[in-house]
Amino acid sequence: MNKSLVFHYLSKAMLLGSALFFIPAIVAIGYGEYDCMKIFIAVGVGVALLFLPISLIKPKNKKMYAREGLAITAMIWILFSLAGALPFFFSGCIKNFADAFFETSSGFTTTGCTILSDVEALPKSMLLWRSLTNWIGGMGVLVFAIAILPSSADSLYLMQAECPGPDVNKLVPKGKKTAVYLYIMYTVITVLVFVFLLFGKMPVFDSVCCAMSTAATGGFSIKNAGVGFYNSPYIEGVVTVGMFLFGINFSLYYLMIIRRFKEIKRNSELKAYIGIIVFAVIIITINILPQYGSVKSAFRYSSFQVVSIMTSTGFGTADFCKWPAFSQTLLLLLMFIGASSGSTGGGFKVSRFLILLKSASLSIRRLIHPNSVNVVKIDGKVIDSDSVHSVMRYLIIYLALAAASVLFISIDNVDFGTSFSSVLTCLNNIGPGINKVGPTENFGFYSDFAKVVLSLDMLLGRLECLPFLVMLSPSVWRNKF
Amino acid sequence: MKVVVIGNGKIGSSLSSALVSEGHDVTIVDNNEAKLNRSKNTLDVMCIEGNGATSETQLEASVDKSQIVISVTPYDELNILSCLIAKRLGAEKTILRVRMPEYFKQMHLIKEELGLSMVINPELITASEIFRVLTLPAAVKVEVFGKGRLELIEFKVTDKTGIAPVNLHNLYKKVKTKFLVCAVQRDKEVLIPTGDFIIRNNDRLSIAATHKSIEKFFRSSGLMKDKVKSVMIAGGGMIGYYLASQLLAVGMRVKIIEKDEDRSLEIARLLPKAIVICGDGTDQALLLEEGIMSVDAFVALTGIDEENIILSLFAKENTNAKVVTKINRDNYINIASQIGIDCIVSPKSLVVSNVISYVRSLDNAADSEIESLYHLVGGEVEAIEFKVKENVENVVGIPLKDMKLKGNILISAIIRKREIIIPDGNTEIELGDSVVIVAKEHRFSKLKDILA
Repeated sequence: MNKSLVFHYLSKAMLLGSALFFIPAIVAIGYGEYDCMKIFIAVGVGVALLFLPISLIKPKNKKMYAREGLAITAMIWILFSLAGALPFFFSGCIKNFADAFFETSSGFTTTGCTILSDVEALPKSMLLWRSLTNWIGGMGVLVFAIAILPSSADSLYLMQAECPGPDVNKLVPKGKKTAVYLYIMYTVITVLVFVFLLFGKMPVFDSVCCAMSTAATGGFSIKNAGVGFYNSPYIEGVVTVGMFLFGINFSLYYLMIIRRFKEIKRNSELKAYIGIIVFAVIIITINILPQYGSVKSAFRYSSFQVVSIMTSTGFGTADFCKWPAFSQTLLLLLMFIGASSGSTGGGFKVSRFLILLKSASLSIRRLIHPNSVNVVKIDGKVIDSDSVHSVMRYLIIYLALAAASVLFISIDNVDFGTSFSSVLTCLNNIGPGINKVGPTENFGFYSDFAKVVLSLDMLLGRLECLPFLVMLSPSVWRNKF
Repeated sequence: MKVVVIGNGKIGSSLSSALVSEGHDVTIVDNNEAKLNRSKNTLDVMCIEGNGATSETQLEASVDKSQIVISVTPYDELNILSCLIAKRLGAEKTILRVRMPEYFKQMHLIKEELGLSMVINPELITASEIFRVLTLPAAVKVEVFGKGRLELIEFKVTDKTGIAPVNLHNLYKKVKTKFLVCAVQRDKEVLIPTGDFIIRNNDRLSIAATHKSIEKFFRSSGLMKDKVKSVMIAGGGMIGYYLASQLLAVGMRVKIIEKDEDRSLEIARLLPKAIVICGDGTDQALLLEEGIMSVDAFVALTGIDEENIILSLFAKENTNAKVVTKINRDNYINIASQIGIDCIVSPKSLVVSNVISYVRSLDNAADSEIESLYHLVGGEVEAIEFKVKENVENVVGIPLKDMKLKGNILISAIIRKREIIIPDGNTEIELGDSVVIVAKEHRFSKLKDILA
């Protein structure tokens, strides 16, 4: 591996990242939180000073290959999470560094689960920083870096490693332009959500934070009771629609802008995504109807919760742990499916799920007609067997990681529902689980070891495992061969 | 600019990679997913899978919003159809490859009608390149500017030459003909020389001069070789055919060795003056029997790079013939030149130079028109001919010695009407001149950019 290139790129991205600390610093001035301001500025300057000398060393060989791309991606996410944890730690808002790391990885990976029992006690600037980590992590820190840093042809491998989904969908031929367009669309829809929230009489600060968390399908809330705090069907509606929109592949928005509606209509992932949501909302509404009495309120809570879980946001308005087991199980299954590829949502991705489903049904048809020739088709295009196999390989890795994590977590001696849903929720970047980690609970009770395992799960899930697993291979680190 | 390249074969992929490095937005269309994946993973391009001749696929590739569509699939008919559809969908310029001699001959009949901007025939370009080298056997590469009035030639200085080591100033004084050394390749480095540069043995020089001056220079420095009168060509493909017909037209004797019987018959029918041998061109006994020892030039044009390299080595080792080798793969070119094969033609890079020069000349903001563009010494150095269309500030009417140029640039020649000027410090560029500029590490599309 070309280490000097990796360090050069990492330090450049970190320099860019250090600028982010100044946003909450400015907010801190506005709210008179001067201690927090000092900490944010100190961390920002400190990170910049640390990485500035490294970024000045120019690598001899500038060619980036897949392994460098994967290594940069994996390391930048760890570095961002570590650096982002510093303000929480130094300000004393979170006293344990493992907790702070958990909170920040949860932010950047848009998981949105917290170890804080009282979120409202945090200073405003810290709350904004939490939501900002959500927002930056939603579209991806490297996509952010690619969009801003001068164009380099090598951005390709970075996009591939960071963008969720089985395949990178470039909007335009240039990687840099694609990144810029993605961020423009992302920002515009975020602002729209923000404006609509303002109409719902949500305070400005709350609207900013809520809009950012919604956009990233992150799920960090600045109130202990989550979005339920506002107790407004309008706000819940806006957030529901917002989450739904951000769970859609962003290339479809681009197709809409350039008026290629035919391709949008043909998109089977979108159809499946909508189908699953509608189906789940109806079933859960019926299932929880006795509990809420009226169809209206049952629909209100079920639709919010289904979209929140499916898009891997993890906002809560109702404690679904008190819902019937059937609804809870259905929500757990939705956690697994996740949002569309190329969206800000996490999870296994609807498109992968579709590919698996179609190839499974084909293999059954093959049993009936042994000599039939079959191909897996998505959007009218043939998916070659290599892609199908790579999805299967991903599934195996994913399940193996989940199993190993559950095993590690169970050292803490919690019940199976809690440990299983904790891992599932972290690996899929959702937020709440069931039982002890339900929507009204938090992850504070876990041991440091379990918190680190879960933090890594979040990072693994966000980057879809492979960049991290590649880092474990010794051959990546060797200079030759 | 937005460019769509249809066909991701050898030429398509190297075109795409060149266009990307020029900063264009490139979309590649091909129906072979494996080939596309390779480009997708190595180039900053968008890839669309599908039949490039269908409007559906073309729309998916946003042909309607693109400035240039280049169709380089292996099939001429498909290329013509693709360009036709692209033009109808709203592409501004269309470039296509037509390689069949029969089709190429009649392209002028339909070119305007179909709105085709440029027709490339890689085989013909390659053949013409080889032809030029064969007419000046001391050179390894000959490029022409100003419609043939100025030549830029590449040759190697050896101890037999007897000019090295020499300071450039003294060389210019000693040889009383006008020429300019534009670029020097020493080992793996390429240099744009200044006046006190010292030429050593084994340097590869690129010099600009008129054909007459070059001959004079070669004669005075003992480089002149006898004129080529007989040529043996191994491989009777399309290039072989074009080359043979050009050589026969100037009265050279040509022997073509072709493996395939049907193809041999075909060439024999097309070129009655040539001697066509049906046999394996890689068989050394056959080559000896057919008199490779006594030919003036040997051209290796089989479809396989490795065969061409081996054949050329054999010919170089055993004969005094001028040897020309066709090599398609870029990475072989370096290896081959290291083992002593110096005269290499690469159809791919010729096409790339051609298309790039056309694409760059489309730059609307340009103050000058690109007339021709060549890649010298392995693509590192570019020689560009600009036609000065308007008054470029700080360039036109200023003595060269007062011009503030960027580094690694040389103004190597000025073509003024019928006159060729090899410039010195007092020469001034005038409106209407064609200026040949040799530059390393720069990509120019307009004359103004040469200023620091």
